[in-house]
Amino acid sequence: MSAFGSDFLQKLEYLALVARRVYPRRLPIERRQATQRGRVEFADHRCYTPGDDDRYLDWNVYARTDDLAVKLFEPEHDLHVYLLLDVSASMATTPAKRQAALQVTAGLAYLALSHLDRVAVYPFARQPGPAFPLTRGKGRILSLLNYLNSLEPVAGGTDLARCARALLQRRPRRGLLVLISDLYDPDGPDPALDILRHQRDAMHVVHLTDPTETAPLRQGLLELVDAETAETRRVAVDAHLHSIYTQVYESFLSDARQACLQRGIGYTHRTTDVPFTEIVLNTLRESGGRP
Amino acid sequence: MTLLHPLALLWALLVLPILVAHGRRRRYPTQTVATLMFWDRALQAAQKRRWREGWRTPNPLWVTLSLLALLVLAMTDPRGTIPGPYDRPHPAIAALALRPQVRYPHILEGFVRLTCPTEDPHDVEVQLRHNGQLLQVIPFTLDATDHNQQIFELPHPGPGHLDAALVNNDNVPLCPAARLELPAISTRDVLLVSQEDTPLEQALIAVPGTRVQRIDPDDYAAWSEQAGTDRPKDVLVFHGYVPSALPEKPTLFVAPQHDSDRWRIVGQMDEPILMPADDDAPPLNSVWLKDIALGPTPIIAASGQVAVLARAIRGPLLLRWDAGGQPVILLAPDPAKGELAHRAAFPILIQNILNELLLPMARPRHEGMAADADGAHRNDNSALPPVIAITPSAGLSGPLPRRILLITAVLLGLVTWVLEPGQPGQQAQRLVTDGTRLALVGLAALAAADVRGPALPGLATGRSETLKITRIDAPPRIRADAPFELSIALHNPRPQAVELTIQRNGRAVLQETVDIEPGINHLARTLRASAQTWQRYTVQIDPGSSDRASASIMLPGEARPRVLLVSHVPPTRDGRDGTSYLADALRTQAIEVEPRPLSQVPYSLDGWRHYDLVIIDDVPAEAWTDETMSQLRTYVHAEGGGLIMLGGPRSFGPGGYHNTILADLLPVRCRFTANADRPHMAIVYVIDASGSMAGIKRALAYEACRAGLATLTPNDQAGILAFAATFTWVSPIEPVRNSGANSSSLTVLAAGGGTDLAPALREAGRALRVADAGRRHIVVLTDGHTRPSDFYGLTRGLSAAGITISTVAIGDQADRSLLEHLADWGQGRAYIAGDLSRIPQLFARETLAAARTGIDQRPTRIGVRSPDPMFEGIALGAAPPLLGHVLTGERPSARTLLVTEAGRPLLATWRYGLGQCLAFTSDARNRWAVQWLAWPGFGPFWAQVVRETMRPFPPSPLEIKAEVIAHSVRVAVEARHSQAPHAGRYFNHLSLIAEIHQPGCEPQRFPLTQHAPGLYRGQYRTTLGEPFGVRVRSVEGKRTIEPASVGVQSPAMPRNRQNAPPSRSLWGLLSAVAACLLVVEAVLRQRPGPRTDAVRATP
Repeated sequence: MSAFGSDFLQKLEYLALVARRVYPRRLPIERRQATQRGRVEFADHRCYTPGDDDRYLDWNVYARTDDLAVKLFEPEHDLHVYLLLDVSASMATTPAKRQAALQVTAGLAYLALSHLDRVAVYPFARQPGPAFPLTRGKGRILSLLNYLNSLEPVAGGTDLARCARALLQRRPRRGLLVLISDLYDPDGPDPALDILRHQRDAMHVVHLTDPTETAPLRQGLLELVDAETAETRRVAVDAHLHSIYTQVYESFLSDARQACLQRGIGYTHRTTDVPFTEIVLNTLRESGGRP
Repeated sequence: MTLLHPLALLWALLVLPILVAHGRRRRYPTQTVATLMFWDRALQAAQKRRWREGWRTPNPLWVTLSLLALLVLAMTDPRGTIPGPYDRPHPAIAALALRPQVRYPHILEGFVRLTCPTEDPHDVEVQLRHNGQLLQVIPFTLDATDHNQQIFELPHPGPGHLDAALVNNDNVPLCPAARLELPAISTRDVLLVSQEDTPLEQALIAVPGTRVQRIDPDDYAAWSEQAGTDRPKDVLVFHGYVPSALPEKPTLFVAPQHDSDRWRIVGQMDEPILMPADDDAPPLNSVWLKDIALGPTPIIAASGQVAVLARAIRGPLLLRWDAGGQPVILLAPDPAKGELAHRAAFPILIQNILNELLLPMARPRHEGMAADADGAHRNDNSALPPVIAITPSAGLSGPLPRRILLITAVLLGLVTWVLEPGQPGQQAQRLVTDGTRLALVGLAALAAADVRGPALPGLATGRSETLKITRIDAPPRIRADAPFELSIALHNPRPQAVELTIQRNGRAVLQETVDIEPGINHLARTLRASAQTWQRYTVQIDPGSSDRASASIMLPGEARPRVLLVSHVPPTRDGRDGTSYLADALRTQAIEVEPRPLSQVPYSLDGWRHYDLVIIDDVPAEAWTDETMSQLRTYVHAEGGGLIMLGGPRSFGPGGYHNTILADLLPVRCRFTANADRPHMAIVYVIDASGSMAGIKRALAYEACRAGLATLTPNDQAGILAFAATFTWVSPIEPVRNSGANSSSLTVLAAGGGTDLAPALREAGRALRVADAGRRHIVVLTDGHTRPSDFYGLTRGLSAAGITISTVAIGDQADRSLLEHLADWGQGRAYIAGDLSRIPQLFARETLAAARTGIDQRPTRIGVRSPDPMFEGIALGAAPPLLGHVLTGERPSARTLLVTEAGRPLLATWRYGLGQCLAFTSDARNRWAVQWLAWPGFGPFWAQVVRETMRPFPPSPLEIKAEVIAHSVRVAVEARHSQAPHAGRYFNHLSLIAEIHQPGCEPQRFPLTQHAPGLYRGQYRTTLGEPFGVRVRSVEGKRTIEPASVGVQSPAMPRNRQNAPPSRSLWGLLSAVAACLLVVEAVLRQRPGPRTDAVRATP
């Protein structure tokens, strides 16, 4: 079953319009890369004022005119956007969760493509899956949607750190990293975030969880099956254990948020009962306040 | 429900619901979750067990069997025939007993005795509780023997009951608790006779259970007259005051100020330091009184048999004796003076003294106390029939079995009585010793002891049937070829003559016929040890019938004692010098003697340690160095070595020992000037004051003159003449009684100028000629060459006038040749002072020699002032006269044993620190003792003197305790440094090996492991019979230690087996009847009661 309805492209177009209107020049995919000063294009000259960096003085102009002029540059807009999509089994425990993940990925990719950025999708679970290579132009959106549709949940657990290490080896150059995942790694997201942050990419985490994971459905004797590893636990769920579980889960969410913010990484958490457009827009908004 | 077995209840309440609840497999709703990560964390936080797969449907057979077991258990009486937790063969309490609280009220002393039915050793503990409150835990390691007994001692907790519970390591009770009703604490009345309120009274009041009444010494006479009507006192304490007639009560004298018929005060010690003479003395138990300044203390000289429990160097501080069957203790220091009363240990000391005074007389006495022959080896329990409660051992629970067992027990009790009844006086003892055999026998005996009143003892027949050696006592170590005493205690049923045979390693060394009395006999025989390493002594008593007795003891033999004989000159090649006579005599008495000149004596303390005794034979004081003297003092004081100084022209005072380190060790005073018949003497010290004498030499000359003057009598005259280029009188000739002026004027001796001796000699001769004296003498001290002159003519002239000249040369620059000639012509002596610091001793010696004092060369017979074991067997009355001796003075705290005809000390001895010092003022060579050399007693006399004075044994760092339990040898070793300066510290991390030696067998070795600081233990199962010896040595390694040995006697005689075997008597029948009554009472009392099976033995 396709994760994208027939009107999905219209929703994407609408999303792009709204995004451009509400957050002009502040989309994460349009953010200038402060770290890529060498890859900028010459824009103009202006007069030198004391305090300017003398490395940007144009000595040719000075030789010809005896005036000190400073070169002005404009950054290159051809940004590489890497979308890291978690396709582990835990992301497909409910259809809504899987659909939300794919739609958010498609939405972010469309925004980037429509802004003439290059986009690649890297699916991963316990290890990286076949990637959608870097592509450019809105015309590629259909093939991207087909690719996303073809992704199946992979059982066996999630290993964020291992996949992050593999991605950094495979990507052609630095860019913007967007991680779309539920972060259900037994080791936690911290090792992976440390690895991804290491090469000073701009980064954002879209944390998707299902409402059923916030609290179990019922109390009593239950046999719980792990969707990823198929392990089982027999648990007598009572009000006491329920409250403890809720506390544990809440602390996990707050820990994940804390881990991102401490590393200067944008973080957006939404449950999958929220429309994907809102998630994407929230993502843009929550990253907009950052420098 | 009371009939339900506890296990049945447990089963019904716990196991069954679980079986019912989980008997079938449950199905659970399944739910898939994204991850179990959070559930695991939540479960971990909730501390809940995860419910996993694994429940199985129970086996129907298992359920059926369980139900059947439940049925059986439910129908069973917990005290019934099915084995319960108490009825398995566990250890059990056989006896719990207390000593009577007659005179020792606030201390509970008793013992617990356990039985152990299995072979395996058990680690159990007995918990003593008073009214439920835990008082003490006594750990036991049980063996399958009946020796599992331990004595406890604890403060009396007050009235109530004392429970003893036997538990294992998991605190699970192994048998029913035993219970005793405690008697109330009785008070003791103390009468203090004292002038005023003193710290002593406070200390007496502080003793628990004591009521103190103080009266003035003036009122004591009146009190003692009406003492019959007044409340009787248990203890009398006299502080300072001494009554004319000693009371017939336990008495404590503190700081007596008067003499009595038992002691006299011979002096006073200022700030004496307390040294316990006997560490095991009960009054000093837990009392640390070393290094405190006691106040002025009288020096007590006691007569009769008195035990010194603590003493200072100059005299005893704490004495104990018996007067009319009552103990008397004398505490010499006054608590009101000095630091004694301010110490926390003082009340403890007073409490210990009170306890000692009130202790029953049967307690073993201390060493040094003249104990009667009966009391010497008496067991603690022998005179004390204990009040005893018996706990029937395990197996008596359950109504039917209990009855059967009780009936059997009563029958066995009767049979035991018929076969082996006890003596009346031994009844209670049998209860203690044979409690494990059958508790009821003990009950019977106890009943008999209780029934027997004071009016009935005549009914006892008192006949026992076996002759038995109960104990052999010998020193723990014996010297090769040295005599030692073997003490044998044997129990004898009837008067008879027996043949006593003592064998050493199978060869008879003593055989004699002995008449022995009924009861306990003590035989002591002196044997001479052989040189073997292990010596097995077997004692056989043969009465001529089949009733023989035999026992053995194994003793480790030590090497012969080694004696260092220090003389002034090396022994001659032919060995016929003066020292060889004594050396030969000692060698024939099995004492190793090593004669050495002073120049070859050991140069370190380690060298002195090799010898057990040092004899100094006529060595002048100036020949010693201060360091060697200090080593010798440490050797005696701290290492316990012996020291003998023999007389001679160069010994004691004439040898210049006055004011030296060795003089402190000697039991006589070296300075002795009181021979009034000597003619007065005039002496002039002619001292070189030239420029070369400046500095230290001048100071030493000053000291030398002082030392010389100190040896003169007040009527002698002395002068000091200083010379250089000219001469000057530093001090003109005047009587020595004005010696204060003389010595002060010595300080003006000024050094400077050249050296011209002749005018000074002439001036000294002129002055001496006019002096009113019988002897005239000049001592010349110089360090250089003098101007030439007619010294020969000069000295001949002086000689003609009766003036003698001696010379002392200092340093290498001195004109030794001239000085020797001067002494030769002047009929004096010439000295060369190689060591400048020895000049004062030289002067003292020279002055004494010139005055011809300090030596009496008239023949004298020896007189015995006080008999001593040292001279046992020596006919001193037949000793030939001695031709001379050195005059010395008595020291008040020394024992002067032999004196001359004039009453001067000839042989004196005392203890100095750990060692013994002896002074013999005559000699042992062919000079003064030439007639002794042919005397048959010469060798034995000196051998006995040497053996009494020498170090008993070199201190061993290992203290070994070996005992035999079942078929195992248990060895416990305490390792401590035995040598200064680390003496007393523990040796840790040693690798020790114990060897079990038996004649004709290979030694069996096993390692010892460390259990505590300095404590090593090991156990070895052996098939060797007793006796055997145990030797402990360290494995070669980084730390080695000298090996030590100990012997174990045969048969093994534990404390509770040392009593006479029981005899047949009427009391046995009474015992049995009383036992039946008590048992029935116990059964009746127990039937409705709780599970405590303890019974009170006394109603």
